[in-house]
Amino acid sequence: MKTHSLLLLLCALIFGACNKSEFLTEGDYFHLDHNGAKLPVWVKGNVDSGVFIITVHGGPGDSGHEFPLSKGFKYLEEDYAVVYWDQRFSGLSQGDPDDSNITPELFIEDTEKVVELIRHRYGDPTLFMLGHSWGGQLSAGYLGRDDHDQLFNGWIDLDGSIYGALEAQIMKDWILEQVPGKLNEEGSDKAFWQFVLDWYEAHPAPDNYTDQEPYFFADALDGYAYDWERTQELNPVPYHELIFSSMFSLAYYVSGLTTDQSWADDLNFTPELAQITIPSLLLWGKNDGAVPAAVGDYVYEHLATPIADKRLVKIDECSHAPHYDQPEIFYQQVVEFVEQYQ
Amino acid sequence: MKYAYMTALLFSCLLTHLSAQSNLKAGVAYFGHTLTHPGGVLELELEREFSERASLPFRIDLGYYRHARNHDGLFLDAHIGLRQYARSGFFWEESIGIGILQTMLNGEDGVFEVGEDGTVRRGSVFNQPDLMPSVTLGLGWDLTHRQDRKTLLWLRPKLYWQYPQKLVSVYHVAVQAGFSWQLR
Amino acid sequence: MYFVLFCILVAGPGQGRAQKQINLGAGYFGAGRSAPGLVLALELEPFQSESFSSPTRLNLGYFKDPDYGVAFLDLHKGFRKYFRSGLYLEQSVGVGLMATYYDVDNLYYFDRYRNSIRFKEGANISVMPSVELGIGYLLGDTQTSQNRIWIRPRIYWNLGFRNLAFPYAAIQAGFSHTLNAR
Repeated sequence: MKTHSLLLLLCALIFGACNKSEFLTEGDYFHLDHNGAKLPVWVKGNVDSGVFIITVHGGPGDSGHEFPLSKGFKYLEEDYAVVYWDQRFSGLSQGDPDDSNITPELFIEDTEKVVELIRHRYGDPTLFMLGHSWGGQLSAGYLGRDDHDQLFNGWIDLDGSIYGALEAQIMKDWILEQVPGKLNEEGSDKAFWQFVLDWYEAHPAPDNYTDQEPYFFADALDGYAYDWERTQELNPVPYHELIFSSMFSLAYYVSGLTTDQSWADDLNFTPELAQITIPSLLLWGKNDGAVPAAVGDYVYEHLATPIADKRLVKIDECSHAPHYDQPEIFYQQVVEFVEQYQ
Repeated sequence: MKYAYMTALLFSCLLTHLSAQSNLKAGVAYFGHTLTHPGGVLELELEREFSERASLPFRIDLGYYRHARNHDGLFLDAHIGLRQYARSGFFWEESIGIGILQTMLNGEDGVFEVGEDGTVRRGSVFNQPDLMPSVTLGLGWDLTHRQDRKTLLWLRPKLYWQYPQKLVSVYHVAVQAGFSWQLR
Repeated sequence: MYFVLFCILVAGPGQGRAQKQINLGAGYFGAGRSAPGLVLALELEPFQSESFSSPTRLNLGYFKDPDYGVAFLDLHKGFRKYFRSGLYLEQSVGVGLMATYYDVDNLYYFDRYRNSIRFKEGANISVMPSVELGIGYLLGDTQTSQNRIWIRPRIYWNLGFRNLAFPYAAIQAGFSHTLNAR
């Protein structure tokens, strides 16, 4: 009897493993080996369209594998091929590359290699680049150097960083503007909001990445997800598939970028913006607290793209992730842009 | 942490040279990385029995598993711990282990390198070998309880680390289910 | 699952009619380089043979880091192997709870790996798994000795703050007295 039970358990395990989800069957999956890091690349969606959107994820230290969990990117995959990849030390990347030389240039170099690989494997398709948050900054750094932008038909900057010191101040303004209201709100956590005021008094010029507190403040003001419950309803997470039948493993929860992030604090890719001339869609959540919409104004102003070919769209009831908060509007805006410039 | 587990290894080696009644077993098992990503493990175990109820198993595991679109793992590790038997033949156990994990990239379309001049070539699937400390708990039955030769059925969840990875270490969980039988 | 198995492990079979000792100990507990503390250990040690035992140990400890104080209570199960010389080696795995009392002028606490927590005043309770190795020595005649000294390096995790990729290390050194003679 005991033997039978064990055999049944074994069969169940093996059957479970054989029952593959879309995470293991859809698209092409390969790795880029560069400078000690092994970066996973997932090309998913409508490859036959000949239009490839290369994503660049946020963080630093998050994962490109989060994009396809959102409804916004699921919609996009129906029309175009979308390239998801993880940066070094992040998400499902592997390897133990040298940590003595973590620079923005290294991340730009990785981005360049991913683009070259996609061009080579898919016969020089029509390319768009989409950077989110830190990925917006990284993609600007990449596109604005060595005429990389000329490889692309367009750039989609999704709530993207650009100039660390400036953003920290814009973020401060965005937060402090709302704190008095919170302090006066009935039933609010007054001690917390007073702490926010005190913290900024003690840190008048915070660092963009090294200081973590402002990100918690922004989160408390729904600056990451406009309405968390609604966002969860719109983008249900398939936990069972992710745990038992996907490429995800517990390693996903370990970011190697855990120590000093001062290398990213003072980044200013405004000069690179001035070199980007391709059509650009700047898509921002009006309630983004991590990279507030005023940063979008700054990017729009400094981007060298002719006015006719650049647009800044600020989305209502939307925070740092339009693809989660407002997937239909995100999809509609991106498709309209891609269709115009592909 | 690395050095603590190296100490454990030395500790293991020392203890295996102790004299007591012992049996040698071979085993085979399903190894499921995060339960469902399949693999297998072969084991060789020297079990020092100090009483009818307690023993000190020293085990060497050789295993392989495939996690699609993540990595394949080939490992060799040594474990030492405590096993305690009930009259019914039921037993539980705990062990700590140390070994080497060689991982290989698993993406069905391969691995690529892009040169300075933009040329694309195939790359190696092999990562660098990593240190693999682990903690394993287990439950099982001795099917041939009180007979000369043991046949054990067991279930062993294993928590293991891959060090160094991504500048730190990453951790994994696996479930092993199998049986082992006494060789001598 | 690990927790359930561990409970079975501690409460499980194997104790039988083995001769049991009760040991009470106290020691220094040093977490890292800058967090000294103390640990009390109450141990039930069933002997499976003259030279081999399977102790179950309850540890109660406290240590003080510059940024926080920690009180913990955990239960360990493992084995101990004695040698004729009075020397012994041991290994155990354990799980328990830790209460962290933060002492920083902030609502948040960050460690050097950028792990973070918005802590509350008073005890911040979290799960504390751990693994210990140990070396010890019976003082006096090994057959009748009721006193021993030991060193137990420990690796532990604070699962309310860091994940399993970021362990802590501690060293324990102390003395135990057997309350009931074998």
